[in-house]
Parts: sequence; structure tokens; C-alpha cells
Amino acid sequence: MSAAIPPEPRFREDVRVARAPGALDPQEKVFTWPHLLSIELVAALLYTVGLSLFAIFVNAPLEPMANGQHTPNPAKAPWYFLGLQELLLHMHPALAGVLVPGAVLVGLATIPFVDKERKGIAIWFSTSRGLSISLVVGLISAIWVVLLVMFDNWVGVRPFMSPLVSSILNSCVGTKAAPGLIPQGLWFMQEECGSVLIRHTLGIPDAWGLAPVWNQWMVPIVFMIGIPFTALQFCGRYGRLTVREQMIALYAYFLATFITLTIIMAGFRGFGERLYWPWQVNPFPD
Amino acid sequence: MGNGGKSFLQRVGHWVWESRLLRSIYRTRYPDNQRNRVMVVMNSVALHLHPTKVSRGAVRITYTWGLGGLSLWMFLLLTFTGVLLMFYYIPSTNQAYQSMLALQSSVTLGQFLRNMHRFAAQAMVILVILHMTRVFYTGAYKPPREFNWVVGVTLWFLTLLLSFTGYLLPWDQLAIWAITVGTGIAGYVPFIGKTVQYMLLGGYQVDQPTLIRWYTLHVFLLPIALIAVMAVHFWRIRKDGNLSTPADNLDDEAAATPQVAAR
Repeated sequence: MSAAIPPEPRFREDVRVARAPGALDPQEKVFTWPHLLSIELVAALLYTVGLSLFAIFVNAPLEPMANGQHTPNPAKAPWYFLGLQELLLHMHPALAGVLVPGAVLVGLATIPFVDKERKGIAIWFSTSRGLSISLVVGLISAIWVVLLVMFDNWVGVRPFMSPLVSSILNSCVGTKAAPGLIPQGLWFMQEECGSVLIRHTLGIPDAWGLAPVWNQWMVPIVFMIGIPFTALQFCGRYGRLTVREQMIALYAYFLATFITLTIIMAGFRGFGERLYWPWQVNPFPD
Repeated sequence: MGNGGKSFLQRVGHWVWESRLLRSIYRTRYPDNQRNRVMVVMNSVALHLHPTKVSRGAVRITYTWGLGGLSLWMFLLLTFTGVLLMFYYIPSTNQAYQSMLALQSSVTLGQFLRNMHRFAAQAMVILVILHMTRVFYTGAYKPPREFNWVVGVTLWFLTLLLSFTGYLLPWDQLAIWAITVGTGIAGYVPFIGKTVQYMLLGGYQVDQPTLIRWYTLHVFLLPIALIAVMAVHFWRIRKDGNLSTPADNLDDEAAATPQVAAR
């Protein structure tokens, strides 16, 4: 069985690899050994060496022993949940912590059942506009997130929602009181009343604990759906988007929002989860 | 020299390579011809996950970036370092933190072991997200690979759970407060939130029952789940036609031309 070793090059595909690096025949196949296995081996080795060097020079964090009586300020989640933690500051916990991540998972899983066309497979960004759409939608989303976080931090929706809730209350309850006549200090009560009315109208059970429906549910949902919708409309002005391109836009929205929210919570949230510059944020709060 | 001109080393090499022991382990001889290149992949339990031949377009580094394979490699590395850590770690609120300190100060390479586990875990989360993003942007989720994309999303979720359950184990301030915040969110799940929260904590706050639950999830239940779902994922890669290639664009004639495929 041990045949004499033939002279190099041994196989036709080896010759082709050497001759034509640019032009590929999509049907062309090569042997897994060595063409794929060599890549896998080198990748694993290089990666492991890099990780080992990092682990030699940088130590994993270990803070003081757990103490249930002493809450660090701010208490931050692992980095991959920081985006969700930032969302928690701006909307109802059930929305930020359960429904949004649930919708992300379900939404991601649904992609191939919406975009069913067998076109653009194995081509980065699939179409000539795919990359542009990703960058534009990603940028629009990131800018929106930054503006909304700053707006909610310094202004908030309450001043704007007060007249709206008042008018709804007026129309429902039948009183003639103009928005301005209800004292500002009673805003919270108005909000509660408005929420109760909406909850009963929509038949949402009280067990959900949905008190401030307006600013913790309605406004965030409008923006979370509105931003990708307007971004799609914007891109659509430059030519009708295929289903694949719409998916690319939505994925860019997901990715950009995830990254931007994570950066804000990681680098810009300090004591009391308030906004600071990154150099003012203590990465290891006591 | 004799012996057909073979050197001493060649004769030793031949003796070792042709020995019954090595032949019983590796049935295939060195893959220097087409037949053996096929056999070496088919006959190896580790390598047979691969097809014997792969599309040349799909094995380009700039196509896959090796992200899926590296995610698997991180899982194997984490299993290895994790088992070593289990030799030293005690899942008790009184001793967990002390065992971390002891690991770092008095176990040979203990600090390095912990660093590797921690950073490999972070790396795995990043790699899985990048892999998912690569698959998305190259349209590799399209038919016939729809279901495997769903399996992949599940793997991402399981990876996050594995990382998060491991986060509590050092039993430092970072750990219990992150888990307090995290399980607090679970309390807001409609209708069953409080029950879920109680189940995760084994009580009303992060304490000994929480630690032992999360430890069991981290070292046993979630890895088993991940391995099972990974098995389905890899199986489906093969059954769905291996790595996606431009040849999958059945309806798109333009994509089947070499010029487009080379992009």
C-alpha cells in the first residue's frame, strides 16, 4: 500500500489553487485534507496563542467577596447584557428585560422564513446595495439611540405626555378641564388614571403591573418600531428594497442598537446610573 | 547502508508507522493520495464531521473567517479549563470566594487557568455573535438552511446562559449584584415572573440555594444542552449541503458565474 511519493504538485486542484487565485468556479471542490484542515489548525493555533498571551498579561477581575448588605453603585450586568440594562432605564422592565430580548430572539429566528429567496447566497451583503444599506441604517439607528438616551436623560417624555393624557382623560371622563388647569404636581396621578383607562380599554390584566403605560410602554414601542420603519422608508427612496435588503436593514438596526446601548451603559453610566464621560466612570465601583 | 538505501531514521519511522498498534489506531495511511485523503476524513471520529471534499469558494478565510470552528474550539477549551477549575472550586457561599483566592495564589498556573476560562468565555460570546453576523450577511440562512439558522440562534442563547450562570460562581461583589439585577428582570415575565425568579434564586435573594443551582446549570445541564444542540447544528450543516456556496443560488444564473462568485 505504501506507494512512492509522487512529485509536486500532486493534484489538479493544487495546480488550480496555484494558478488562479482570483477566478473561482462555484462548483469546484477541494479535498478537506489538507485544504480545510490546514486552515482550521492554523486558525485554532494562532487564536489559542493570542488568547494565552492575553491570559498571561491580563488577570480576570475578582472583586471583594459577595456582600448582600453592600450594593455597589452602579451594579452592572455582564457586558452582553449591558444593552438591556440601558434599555431598563428608559422603559418598563417587562418591556426592556423580557419582551424586547424575546422579540429579538424570535425575530432573528424568523428571518429565513420571511426571506425565502435562493438568491445572494454566499455573497457578502448579497446585493450591490447591501453594504450601503447596512452602513446607512446602522448609522441612523446609532444616532437615534444616542439622541433618545440624551433626551430621556435630560428632558423625558412626561412634559409632552401631560397634555395628551389630560385630553384623553377629559374626553373619557367628560370634564371640560383644559390641560393647563391640571396642576403639574398632579401629573403622576393623571398618568396613573390614564394608564388605568387604557388598561381597561385594552383588557390588559392588572397583574402585569402596568402603571405608567404612556411613558414606559407606548413611547418606547413607537420609537423601537418607528426607527427601523423610517430607516426602511429612507432607503426605499433610492430604489425598491428586496426582501433580503429589508432583512439587511433590520439586522443593521439590531446590531447598531445593541452595540450603541452597550457602549453607553459600559462607558458613559457612572454613579446612580447617570450619564458621565468615560474618564469619569469608575470601571470598578466599590 | 543496505535495506534499499533507507536511512536508520526512515527504518525506525517505517517500523513505527507500520506497527500493528498504530495501524489499529489509524487505519488510513498518510493522506498523500486521493484515496487516503478521503479515507483519513471518513475514518476519523474527530474529522468525520467534515465532508471529504469542500467547495473551494467556501473555505476561503475571507468567507467564513473560521468563526464557527473557533466557537467550537472555545467550547472545547472552556470544557477543559472548566473541568480543571472544578478540581479546586467549592460551590458554597462560605468557601467559593476563598477557593478562588486559593486558586489564584497557591495553585500552579491557577491564575492563568482562571484567566483562560474567563477570557475564553467572553471570546466565545463574541465569536458566536460574529459567526451569526457572518452567516447573516452572506445569506447563508437561506433555504435549505433555514432550520439550522434557528438552531444557531438557540446556540447563541445557550451560550449567553452558560456565560451568565458562570458569572455568579466566583461569589464576589461583581457576581452577586449582576445576578441580582439579572434575576430581577426575570421577575417581570408576565404572569409567571415571580415563580421563575423564585426558581432561579431558590429563594428570595441570591444565596446558597442560588449558587448550587447555577453551579449545576453551569457545569452540567447547560453544557449537555449545548452539546446536544451543537450536534444537531453540525449534523444539519452536512445534511443541508455543507458550507453555503454561490452554487446554492439555483435561480440566480448570474451568481453561478465565476466572476460573481469571486466577489
